[in-house]
Amino acid sequence: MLTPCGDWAERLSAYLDDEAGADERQAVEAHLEACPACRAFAEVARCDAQDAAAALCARPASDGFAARVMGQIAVTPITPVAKKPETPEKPVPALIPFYRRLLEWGVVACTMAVVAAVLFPVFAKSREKSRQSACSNYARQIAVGLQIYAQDNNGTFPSADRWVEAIKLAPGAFHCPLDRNTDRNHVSYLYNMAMSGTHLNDIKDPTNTPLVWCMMDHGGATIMAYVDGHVGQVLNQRKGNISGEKAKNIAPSVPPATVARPPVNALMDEAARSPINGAAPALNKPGDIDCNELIAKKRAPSLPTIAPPDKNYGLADKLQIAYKAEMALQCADVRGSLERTELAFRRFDGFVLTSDYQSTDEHHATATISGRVPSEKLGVLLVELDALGTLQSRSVNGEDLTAQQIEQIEKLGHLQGAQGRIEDIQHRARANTALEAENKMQSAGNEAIGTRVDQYKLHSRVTLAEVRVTLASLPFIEPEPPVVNPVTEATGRALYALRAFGLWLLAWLLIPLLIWSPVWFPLGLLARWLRKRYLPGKDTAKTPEEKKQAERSIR
Amino acid sequence: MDDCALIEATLAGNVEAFGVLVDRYQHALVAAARHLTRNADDAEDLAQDALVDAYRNLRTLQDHGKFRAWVFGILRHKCLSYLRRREPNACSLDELADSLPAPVDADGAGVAELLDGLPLAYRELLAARYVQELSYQEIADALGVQVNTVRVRCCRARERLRELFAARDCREKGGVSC
Repeated sequence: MLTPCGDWAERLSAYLDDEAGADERQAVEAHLEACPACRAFAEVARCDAQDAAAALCARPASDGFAARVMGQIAVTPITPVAKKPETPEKPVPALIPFYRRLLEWGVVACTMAVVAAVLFPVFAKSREKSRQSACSNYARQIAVGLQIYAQDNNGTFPSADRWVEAIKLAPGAFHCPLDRNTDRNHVSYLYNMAMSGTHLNDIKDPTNTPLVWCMMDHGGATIMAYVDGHVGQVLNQRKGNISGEKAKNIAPSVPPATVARPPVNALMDEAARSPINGAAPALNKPGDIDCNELIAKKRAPSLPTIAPPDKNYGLADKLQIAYKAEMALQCADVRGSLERTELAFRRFDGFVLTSDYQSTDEHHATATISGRVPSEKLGVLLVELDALGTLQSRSVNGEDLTAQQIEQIEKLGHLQGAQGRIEDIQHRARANTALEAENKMQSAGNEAIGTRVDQYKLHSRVTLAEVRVTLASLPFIEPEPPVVNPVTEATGRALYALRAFGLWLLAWLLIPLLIWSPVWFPLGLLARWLRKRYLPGKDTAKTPEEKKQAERSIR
Repeated sequence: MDDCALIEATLAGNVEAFGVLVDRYQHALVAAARHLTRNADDAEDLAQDALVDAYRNLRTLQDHGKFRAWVFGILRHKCLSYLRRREPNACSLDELADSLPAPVDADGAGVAELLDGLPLAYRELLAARYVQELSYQEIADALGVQVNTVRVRCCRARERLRELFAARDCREKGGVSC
């Protein structure tokens, strides 16, 4: 069978159908001249096409075909071109009357208010639940941390003044989500001070003995972690008198008196202030406690609790004042310096005993603060206080340290390590043999003596330093009145008056105008409409004569 | 008178002008319908329907110069609808007679039968090209395909045609394989 060579078939077909372009036609003709096979194929293909066309058109339509078609056409009308349906113009929204718009917005606002009123308590409730669970989690962590501490320290819970540092928790783990204090390191939990230094064996009922509780009010309940590690909620609002094991165990060895459990916080504050082996908190007759009164007492602003010195460090029998430091400073802001001094006392694990502020006049004030700090913190405290103002005098144990002996004061801090080791050994000595402990104490004491500063001898059982700080304001010099250029002053006053007038205009005229625009704008429109409706001539009249005529006609 | 003038005259109300168009294209349309449907009886009816539809919708024709291709498009749709509508197994006696081998002596009829053996895609191409004498562009517009597709299909149709004719020639020569 004849076939074109190469890939010429398509081009040859187009050429034979007379559909090839000019370039293609030339190429095909050139190829046909050169290629006899393709030439033969083209001839045959052309004949084929002619045969096919002839065969297809061989049988014409029947004779009556055209007549039939025309007969049908005669009764068939030509369909007119269907016009495109014009898109209906969007109706111009009619101007909604103001009162109607106001009504719509009012309805919307009311609906939203109702929805919000329904939904808000639901959300608030769920939020409160989540906060409660977070707080419970924190309390559980703290309780577990305290347990671990006790297990590591021979079964003894940490002392109340350093229980936060005793357990290593992430910053913020002591911060209840309900606490409004923005400081993340703020401690929202209270430690049962009766547990301070208590041995685990001394606790008879760990399940009902509170260890830590949250100061915040969680929907009328207090979240409380117990010695055994479980966390529970204790309702505050329950009125009446409840006798319970839990309340009894707030302070160990409290006589089994009937105490009202709620509100627990206030009750436990009272209990915690009492010494470990002392009497029960001074509750009135059993069953006479009014919960509301205690709640009110709890909420009343109270001064920061200063633990008595003999209880503060758990070393009541070893308490001695080793250092007596006195310091006098001159500072610009006596009140602020006083507060900073108190803060410094607390920061260095001390406490303020007395704090006195006196102001004679506007520019003169004096303050006296007396307090205690651990002797190992004395040096750093003095250095800290040094930055508050100009140092006037400073003495430690009667020795004047005003000038260049700050380094020596700082050396006092070196005693801290030895002191800590002594306490550590004392803790361990309770379980170990007395002999071994004595040996260790002896060696630690020797070590401490080796590191002491020469002129301050270390007494083996020193714990506190007495510090007294006197603050006085700087000598006040009456400033000379500044020389003022009268022109500048007058200009300044004029500008000030202008600004005041502008502010007055804004505050009393423009802003009220803007605020009341929903009222006066429709009124203005109404007035304009009324005027157009009933005084038609007055608007169009231009000249005074026309106006007079219009008024006359109205009359 | 060319198609455009006749159509404008028809639209102006002169039905006789459309009669001229009918006379001009009737044979080609009937032949195309016959080729597409492979049914001589229904072909005239389909061609008649196509012409009447064309007359009825003459105002929708935008380019009057494309009347021939337009009418062929209408006819093609009619034929395809007819083929789709007709049951595939239904077979009349006439069709049975048509399906018998055509007499070889009647050359035109024999070739026509031969061409009817082609698939529909090639048949409509042959009808458009050799009966209606449409250009590739007009065929592409009528079939709704690309011009290049029409070009390729024409080439293949030509090859099939050649195969058919070669097979016929072999039979005429006495069954010797070529």
